[in-house]
Amino acid sequence: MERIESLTHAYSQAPWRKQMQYLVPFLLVLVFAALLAGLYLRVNAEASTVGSEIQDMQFDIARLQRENAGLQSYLGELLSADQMQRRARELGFEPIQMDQAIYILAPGYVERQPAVLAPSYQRAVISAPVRPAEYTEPLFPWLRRHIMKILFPALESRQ
Amino acid sequence: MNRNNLWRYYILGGLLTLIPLVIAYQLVHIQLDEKNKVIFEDWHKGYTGQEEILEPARGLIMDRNGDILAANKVVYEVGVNLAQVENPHTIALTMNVVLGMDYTHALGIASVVGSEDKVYSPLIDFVSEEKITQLQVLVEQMTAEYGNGRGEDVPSLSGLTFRPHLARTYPEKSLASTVLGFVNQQGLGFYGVEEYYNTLLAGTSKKVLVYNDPNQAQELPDVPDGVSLVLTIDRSIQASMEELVDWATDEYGAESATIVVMDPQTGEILALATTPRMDLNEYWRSEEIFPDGVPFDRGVSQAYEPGSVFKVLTMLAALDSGVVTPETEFMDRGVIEVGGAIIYNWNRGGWGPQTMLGCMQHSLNVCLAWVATQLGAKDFYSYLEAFGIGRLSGVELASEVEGRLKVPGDADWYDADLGVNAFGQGVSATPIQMAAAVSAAANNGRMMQPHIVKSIINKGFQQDIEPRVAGIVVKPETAQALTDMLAVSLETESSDALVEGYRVAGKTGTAEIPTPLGYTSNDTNASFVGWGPVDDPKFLVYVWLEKPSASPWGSVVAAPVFREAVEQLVVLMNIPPDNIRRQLYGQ
Repeated sequence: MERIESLTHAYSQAPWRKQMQYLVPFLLVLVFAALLAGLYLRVNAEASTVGSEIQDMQFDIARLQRENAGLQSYLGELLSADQMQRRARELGFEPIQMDQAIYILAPGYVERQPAVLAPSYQRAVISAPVRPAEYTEPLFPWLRRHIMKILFPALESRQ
Repeated sequence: MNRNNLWRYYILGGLLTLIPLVIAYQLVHIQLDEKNKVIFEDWHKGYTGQEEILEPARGLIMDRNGDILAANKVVYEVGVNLAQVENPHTIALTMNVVLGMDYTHALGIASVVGSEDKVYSPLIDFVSEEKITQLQVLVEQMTAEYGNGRGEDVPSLSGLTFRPHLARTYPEKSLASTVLGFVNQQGLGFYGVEEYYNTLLAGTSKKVLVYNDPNQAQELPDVPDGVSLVLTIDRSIQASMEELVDWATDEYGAESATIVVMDPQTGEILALATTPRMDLNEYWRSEEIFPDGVPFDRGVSQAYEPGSVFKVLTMLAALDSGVVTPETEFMDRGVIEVGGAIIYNWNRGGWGPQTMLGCMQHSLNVCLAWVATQLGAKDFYSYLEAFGIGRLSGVELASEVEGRLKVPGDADWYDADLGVNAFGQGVSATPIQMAAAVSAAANNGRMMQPHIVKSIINKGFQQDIEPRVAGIVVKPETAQALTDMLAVSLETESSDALVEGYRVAGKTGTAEIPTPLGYTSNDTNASFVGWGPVDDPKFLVYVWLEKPSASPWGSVVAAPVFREAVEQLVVLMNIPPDNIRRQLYGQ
């Protein structure tokens, strides 16, 4: 009986080996999980940074739009009829009287036209949005196309 | 494992089991209890983000050349973040000194203790950028001097915040104010184009949730600006006509003066000047400037009995229907009876045999009343309705009134009305209605719809408003015949309306003002309507002086205003004198 026990002992694995059998896969899982967590954190941190950048940019857009509106009204004040008349008088101009006007024929002269401040609906060419092929093409044709492009660039360029 | 220590593991195990059970119970309890649910939802909302309203910028208003008449400027709401307030007295004092705010009121607001429900209180809105700069300098100075010290004895503007937003501004101040109208602090348009197009100009605001969590930050929705308008108004002409109405009011002691300048070929209003006007940036003074009974824009909101300028329409109708020709003779005995009413001429005298030209030249009421009887009530009123009398002209200005045209069949219409309506009595119309109606004579019989918006700019595209024919009211030859008659009559009379170098056609009008007792007042409405150059009309000018004290007669007070207006118009519109124009076109 003692002999059998000692034989079993002789063929059984050392305890540390048994522990290693569990520990290594566990550590592998742990490392993989840590990698995933790290990746997740990185992506998440990047998304957060971009998110806050987007918010900042939107605040900037709103601020610039306000500034633009302010500048527009300031321009309006500077070019107002009162201001323009005052500056014209300061520069020595005075309103023309009917009998002071001299009319000459100027070939090619086009009289002042009403303001065109934006393209008209009629003139605007509205094109439908085009989706790149990558969004509609199945995977395998796309792969084949790209592989062909790499392997036979000359052929691709001829097409 | 030592069996003596086993109880410790049992306790630990028990605790680890109990804690999740308590948490689970609490979770279920919160979900099921309505009171808790509301509290936690509010917390969640507070942590998630803030609801904000994205207000679009109100659309611009420009004149026909793109000069800005109404724009937006940055103003600020000044408020306090209650949790950050260190010294409400300093804030109240600063508000009082810099912004003129009531000290006690400001102190009351700044002294509120912040809580989860109340974190911010507004103090005052629509503060200018200059004032905000002053406040910012004060905040910096105080922080530099006293740092972040606390206590009632330490001056501090901590907690004071400034929130920028846009507000309406009018760079031209009072120019074209009656046409534009104004916008109040709530963003509502009043009068003029601002009210008529309020919805389009204001745009549509959107409510959004701005997340605190940057991971959830989303692109804010696009809130397009309000629609911008390009008016038919020419700023230079408008300014010039406004100077003229002010001058005319003073010179002739009139209660008010109104001038409408229109392109008769398109119906575009080039200027609509009237008195009084106001600086639109101080719109709160509107009730003071326009007390009860004073319309904001007399051009569209005040109908009056136009008097003899109305004869233009009567004669157009009669010539067009063929009941008279310019040469038709009428024996003027100075009096005529129509439907029981005795009608006299303006001088109460008889003018003997007169052609229709003479009738218009001398503005004979008796003759025109006879003409109306020849035409008959049915045809006469059909023409007047076609001319748009008694209904809205459709011009894009708020508060337009219809005027009054009684027609056969109305309870208050009598046969006598036919006679008096023929020379502009017993019928009321606004200056814009009269200008639109007379434009038929200046535009070969085609009456154009008066309009004041030339184009609309929406989402980056400009759409022009095409001129619209309101009706072909009379034949081209009728319009031409009347134009010739009125041009000749001005020339023969050596009228004050004549403009050297330019042939114009026109008609004066002097109307007694009715009172509840009849035409008992000595006050008159003096008018003139004219257009030119007669061979290719580029402008139609309608002048109305209300109760002029210098002279009651349109020929004395309104005709010179017309001449002044035309002398300025031909320069501003680059219209050469007739002879030069013919030479230039001949080359």
